Amino acid sequence: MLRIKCPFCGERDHSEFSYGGDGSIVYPALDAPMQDWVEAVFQRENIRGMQTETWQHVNGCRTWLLVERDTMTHEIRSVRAAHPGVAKALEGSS
Amino acid sequence: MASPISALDGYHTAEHSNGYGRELAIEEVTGLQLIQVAAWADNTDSVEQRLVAELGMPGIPLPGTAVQNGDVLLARVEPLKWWILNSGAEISVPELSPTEGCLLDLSHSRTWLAISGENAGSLLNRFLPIDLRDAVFPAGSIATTAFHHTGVTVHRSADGSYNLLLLRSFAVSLWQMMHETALQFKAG
Amino acid sequence: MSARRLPGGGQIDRSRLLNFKWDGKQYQGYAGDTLASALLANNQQLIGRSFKYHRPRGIMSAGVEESGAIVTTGEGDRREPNVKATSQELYEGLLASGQNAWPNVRRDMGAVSGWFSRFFVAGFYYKTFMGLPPFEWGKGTGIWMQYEKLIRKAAGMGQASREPDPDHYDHAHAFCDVLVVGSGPSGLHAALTAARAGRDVMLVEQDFEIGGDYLNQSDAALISRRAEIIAELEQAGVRIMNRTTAFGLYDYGTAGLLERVSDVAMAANPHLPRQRFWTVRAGATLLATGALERSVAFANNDRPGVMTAAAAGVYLNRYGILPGQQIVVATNNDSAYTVAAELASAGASVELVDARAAVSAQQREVAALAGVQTRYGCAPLAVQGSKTVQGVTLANNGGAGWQAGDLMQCELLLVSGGWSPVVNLLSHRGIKPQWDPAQTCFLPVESAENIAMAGSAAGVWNLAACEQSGSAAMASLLGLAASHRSIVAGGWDNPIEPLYEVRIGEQRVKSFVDQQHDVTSDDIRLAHQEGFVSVEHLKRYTTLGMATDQGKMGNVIGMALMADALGRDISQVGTTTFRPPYTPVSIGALAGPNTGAHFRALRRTPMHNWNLANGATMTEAGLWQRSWYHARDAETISQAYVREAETARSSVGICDVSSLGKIAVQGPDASEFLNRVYSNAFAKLPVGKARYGIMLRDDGLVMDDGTCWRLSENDFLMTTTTSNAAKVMVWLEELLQLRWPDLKVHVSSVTDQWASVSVAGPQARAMIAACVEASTAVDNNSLPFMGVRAGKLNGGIDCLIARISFSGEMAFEIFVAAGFGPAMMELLWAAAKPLGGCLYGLEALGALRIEKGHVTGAELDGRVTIDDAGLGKMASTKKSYIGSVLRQRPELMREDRPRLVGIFPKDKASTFNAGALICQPDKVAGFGEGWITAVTHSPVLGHWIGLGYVAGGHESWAGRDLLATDPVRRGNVEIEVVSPHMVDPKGERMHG
Repeated sequence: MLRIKCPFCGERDHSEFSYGGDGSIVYPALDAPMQDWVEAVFQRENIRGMQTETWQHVNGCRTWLLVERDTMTHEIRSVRAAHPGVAKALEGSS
Repeated sequence: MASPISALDGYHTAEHSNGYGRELAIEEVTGLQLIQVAAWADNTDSVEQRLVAELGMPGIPLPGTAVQNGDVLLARVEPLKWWILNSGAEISVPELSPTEGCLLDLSHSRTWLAISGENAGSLLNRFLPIDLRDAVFPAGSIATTAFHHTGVTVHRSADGSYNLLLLRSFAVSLWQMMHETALQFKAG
Repeated sequence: MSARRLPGGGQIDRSRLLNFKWDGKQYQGYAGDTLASALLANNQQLIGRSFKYHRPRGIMSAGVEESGAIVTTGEGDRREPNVKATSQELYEGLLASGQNAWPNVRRDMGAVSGWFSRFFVAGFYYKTFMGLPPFEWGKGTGIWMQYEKLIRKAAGMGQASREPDPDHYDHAHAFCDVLVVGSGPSGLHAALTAARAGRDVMLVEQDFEIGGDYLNQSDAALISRRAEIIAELEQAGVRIMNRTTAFGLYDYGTAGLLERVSDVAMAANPHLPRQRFWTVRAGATLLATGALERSVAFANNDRPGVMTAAAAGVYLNRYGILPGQQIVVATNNDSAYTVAAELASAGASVELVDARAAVSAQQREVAALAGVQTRYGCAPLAVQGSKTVQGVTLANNGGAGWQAGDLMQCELLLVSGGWSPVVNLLSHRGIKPQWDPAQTCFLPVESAENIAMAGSAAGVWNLAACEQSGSAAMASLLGLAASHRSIVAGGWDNPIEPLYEVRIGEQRVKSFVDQQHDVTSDDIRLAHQEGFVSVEHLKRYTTLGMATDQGKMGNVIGMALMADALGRDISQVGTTTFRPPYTPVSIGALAGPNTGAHFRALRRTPMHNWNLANGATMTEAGLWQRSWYHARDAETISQAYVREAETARSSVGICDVSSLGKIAVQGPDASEFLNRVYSNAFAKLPVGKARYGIMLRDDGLVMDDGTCWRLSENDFLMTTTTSNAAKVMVWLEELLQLRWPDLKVHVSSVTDQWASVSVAGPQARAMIAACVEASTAVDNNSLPFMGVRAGKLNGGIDCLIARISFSGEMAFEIFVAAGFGPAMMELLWAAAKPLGGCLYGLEALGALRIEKGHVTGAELDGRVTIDDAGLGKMASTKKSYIGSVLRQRPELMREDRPRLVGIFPKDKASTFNAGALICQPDKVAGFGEGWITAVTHSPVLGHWIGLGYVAGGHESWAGRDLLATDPVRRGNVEIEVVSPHMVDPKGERMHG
């Protein structure tokens, strides 16, 4: 039962969110070599401890978030909007 | 010209209209005009100020709070999107250039319910996992949250009642669930 | 035994007499009684029969730890087994009966199993798997399948009703600053401290009365203190919930509560749910959950008439019952002295035996003043009496172990072996309690979370100290105190001495540790002997602590005996993990209102009622209800869809397609965005044109297909399949926010904004022309194939019309704002009827598209590539797009991959099912050569057809026979594979 602090909506139940995937992946250019795409799509680390994940606030503001969560304790260390422009815009307001 | 039909058309019964004592009523608000305005990350402030000025709003709609001018509400529902919610006579909406942003008419996509009475908050908390206590969700507050795994938007009116915007296709199903639960609040 | 209701006293309401039935006989009790107290007041001793050995059992406690008085309440569809009589609130008309016995608990034929008890020790069941010696020795077992049936019949306790639950249940969410669990002395004071500090407090109590241990006191001052505190809490707006168990603590201050609505309230308002499951988010949580008294293991310690000592005090002070006339109290700690004294003052003859060698003079005074005889260095060895307690043989501790002593007559044996703080909820948070040798119990340790414990749950044994600890713990928790003072456990004058079992030598006796599962102390030693030395194995091998009480009474004794066998300290043996729920929670409560029609929210199109009124039979498509077919007169579904498909190909048909996903894609970079997500070219799609598009996943496999319409320079309307709408929306948002934040594009769901229909057939254009205003032209020049125009329907209804064909006929899709959907249908239907047109549903739509070889989600199932589906030409070679690189992985480019084909039966009268495999006639094995995705009768061809995939495509199998193999449902059918475009392969009909 996570409570996630959406930077736009505030702290909400995890039932409003949907887990995405590994937030540390930087996807290559659409025409990058095949090996780069194989790495990005199929290779994952299995982390014990803090990891960066993507979550979307689907029943909320639809913002995609980068969340640092501890896989052992569920502690959430940080949450920020994935879109850098949005993250910056939210720093200004609220 | 034909009149638009509500999603709840054909589902109302007398029992629905009677309400649930003096402490709870669920009513539909029809004739909704809902326009979505979307901007870009680098011009949210200027678009927001334009909307506030052209709609005659008393201030900027901070995330989580709607501002109001008569029948018209302005709320920032996503970091880059605002909704103009109008329950009165149709208004014309500020135009935007493509570099400024986009407009989208969503007037038919939602069903609007007004839930009033002392037990309104308790009824909503049967379904909505958000904090509706007065100190946390006072008049003017607005939030999008989950109702049976669908997205709904809830707003607190000046008089303390709640406005609920449901996706049209889910409206009958959710409205029926609310009525069935509301029966609990009928005294005696 | 002679338990009886005293003429006065207790917290019950003697002005409200209640009638109830126990095992078919009428009895009476009072409002405020539990079923157990009412039975006791009526001197009912034998309440149950044990799980394995069918031994007689009675009331052994006054709380949720009860392991003896387990009954069935209600009848028919309201029958509920395994109810603890001590937790069951008495109400008028309550029906209760014994269980696990035949013909009844007093005379149970099942008792014969007790004669074979040495074969039914812990773990016997597993040993039966090794084979019945000597027949099956070492060879596994087949005979087991026969006697397994007998074991199953004998297993279990009460019998559940098999009928649907007639009650309904509710869910609720709540938020508070502080959640206080338990309304005893420490809980009430904690809640008071928080309320006085202005916090928003929720106080939950599992009992139907508020007050906890205050209710078990005889001191009038304490009784009125309880009332005063409750009044002040109510005044302060504290939400007090009785009959509400906090059954679990979860991450982030979340608690699960189960609220039981009283039967009285339900009778008054039939709309109330039976139970309500609350999810509470608390800023801070204080657990004032109390402690449970332990018993001791000795021979026949499970006889009716053996009870924990404090329970007798509860029955006396709260329920006004003297549970026995001749009482022996056996203890190893101070707490039992007060109970002994109170029982003596109420008129019983009481003897107290203390396992300790000596206690202080003050302590001896407590007993002496009340006329209670005492003995020291003495403990119970064996209960006498076959169905109820008749007496107890004592043992004396001479210094070199126990020695048998004399027999004491009694009818009630009260035992206190110590106290176990209820640390379960804290344990749910992964915080393991620690063994405290001085208090002889597991004590909670400090938590890093905002959770605190107070009162006897923290090992505080003195009531006044409990009150103070509640206030102090809350002050600390809320940061009100200047400094943090840890709670000091303790409060007895004399130290407790550990006592878990009284046994002499290697005597073979039945001394019970877990009464619900009939686990004896010998079972624990047996487990150790057989090598199960970890406490986790001990639990699972013996089933100690696995019944509905979850080891509340027996776990500590079990662990102590295991520690003893291992030659170690209890702190080294550890404890198993407590998991939610603390007490049983009904499945109904967890489901709440989300059952039956409300299991999932239902999605209706804007024309739902109109379709029903016009003969539609509905079917489910994901969460949506869609028209399946519109039967006329007494048509079967087959007759209906064939007629509908024929009409659509010969005249005109109208189909509600509102459920398709629709997404507005807007912004100056919209065409660039679409060009990156679709496999085919979109950058230069002209305004006023629609284009069919395929989206791939990152890994190169097909995700979805749909059409995309360019309404203006920066405004697109994308359609997706019904079932992938949400997924595609999430995907587009992910791309825009995570990968390409520089693109100025907005996506918004407009699925609910539009009502839409497909109008298909040779008469479609003529029909639509009759429905639009003069200014809206639909001729071939004004609206060419794949063109999109804004226009108006008659009556001024704004619409979008696109010339798109899924059916392969001349077809149009018409979109209007959802509220005008029914009006649109009226208009179109009125124009279709004179042309001999029809309404058609999903089944006919399927037949039409299968004939044409147009793919849907059945073919694009997430396992196929764009080439597999025969759409390779849509994979642009001139650009890169999502999936363009990985789709070229060698394995995905192989020539022999399964390709989309059409399927005909060899015998034109045969049929086959979707889901069948396709195999060569002499190689019916494994996965075969392919599979069938969709089937239908083809109105055009006059026989059954299908779509599917076959390795290498239909050219590889020209002239060769294949089989549709369906071993589970219907055997093999001879087929041939053909091009998937089985009707009008050149698409002439769409382009007219």
